[in-house]
Amino acid sequence: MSVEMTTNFRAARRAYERGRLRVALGRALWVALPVAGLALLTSGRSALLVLPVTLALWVLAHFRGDELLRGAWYGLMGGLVTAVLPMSVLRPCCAMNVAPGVDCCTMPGACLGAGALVGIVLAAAVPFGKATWWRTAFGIALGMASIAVIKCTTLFAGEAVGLIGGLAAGVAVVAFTKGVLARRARHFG
Amino acid sequence: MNEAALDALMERLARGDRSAFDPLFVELQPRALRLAQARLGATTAADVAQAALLRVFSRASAFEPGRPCLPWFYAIVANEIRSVKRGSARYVLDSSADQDLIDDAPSAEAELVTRELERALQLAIDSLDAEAANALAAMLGRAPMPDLQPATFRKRVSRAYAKLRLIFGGHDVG
Repeated sequence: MSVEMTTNFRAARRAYERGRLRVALGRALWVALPVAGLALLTSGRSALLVLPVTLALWVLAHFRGDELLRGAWYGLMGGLVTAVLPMSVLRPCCAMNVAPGVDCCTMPGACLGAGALVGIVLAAAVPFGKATWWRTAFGIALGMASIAVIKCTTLFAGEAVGLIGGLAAGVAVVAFTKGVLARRARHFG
Repeated sequence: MNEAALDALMERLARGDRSAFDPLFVELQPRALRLAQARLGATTAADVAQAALLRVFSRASAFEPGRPCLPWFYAIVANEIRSVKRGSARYVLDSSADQDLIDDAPSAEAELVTRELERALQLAIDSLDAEAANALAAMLGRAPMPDLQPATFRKRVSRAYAKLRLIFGGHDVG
């Protein structure tokens, strides 16, 4: 390829990436707006503060596209589960009529467990096909995190980290295992 | 590379599969250059072809899967060529002077461009529904006129043009 051709090639590639970013911004809004409605309904106005995070995650998903975006759509479905998880599951030590705070405990472990359970079930259910396991897994985690952050606004910091960490760990473990098994099956089959 | 392979590559690129970029660039760049050379002459063809390619790849993510790639691609390139012609027409006092720069003699390159454009048009017409495709074929003299009232036929052709415009990329067609 000549020098001029290489320059043209690079310019075309930059144009593609810029165009992709522009399209991603528009498409991410179509996800972020319904999520904003859901956030208002389930977690109140404070949840709107984390919406830029949701928007940014979906811009990334649409920008990268392909396997990552496919995983993110599955993750969104899993994330919806976390958004409607009752507080009695995430904070089982609290009595229903007690406000969290001085007289009430925080349970990051319960959040971690709940997040991991959702992540494991989802990653096990998603068909990976010929897609790279880590890209799909990253997409699932990204899609789930984009909506789980809304739930985090109603939790204490430790619980929020537990929920997101549990989701990510659950997805990573199952996706990695599925990836290894698929590679072995290809190798021996 | 055949049209089906090009369509598949463009679909992959629209989805975000970056590995489709290199083969697509290699396939589309000479096509853009040939059309620009045939319409504008060699002096400005390279710049116009490059500008057209930038527009093509900038809009690649909005390409709708299932539609033929070539009509969409040629619509963007042709639009770029038209806008360059419009822009340069403002500065040309002697319109016959720049005609000398364009080689009007029939050549293998020009024939190839004509064939490609006709093929792209045929691909676009083929992807229309039967009613619209038949109306356009009749308009182009490739099929017998349907037994319709003139007003009905005109309306059908007008609808077919609107559908064709969408396949070519809507606003990309000037």
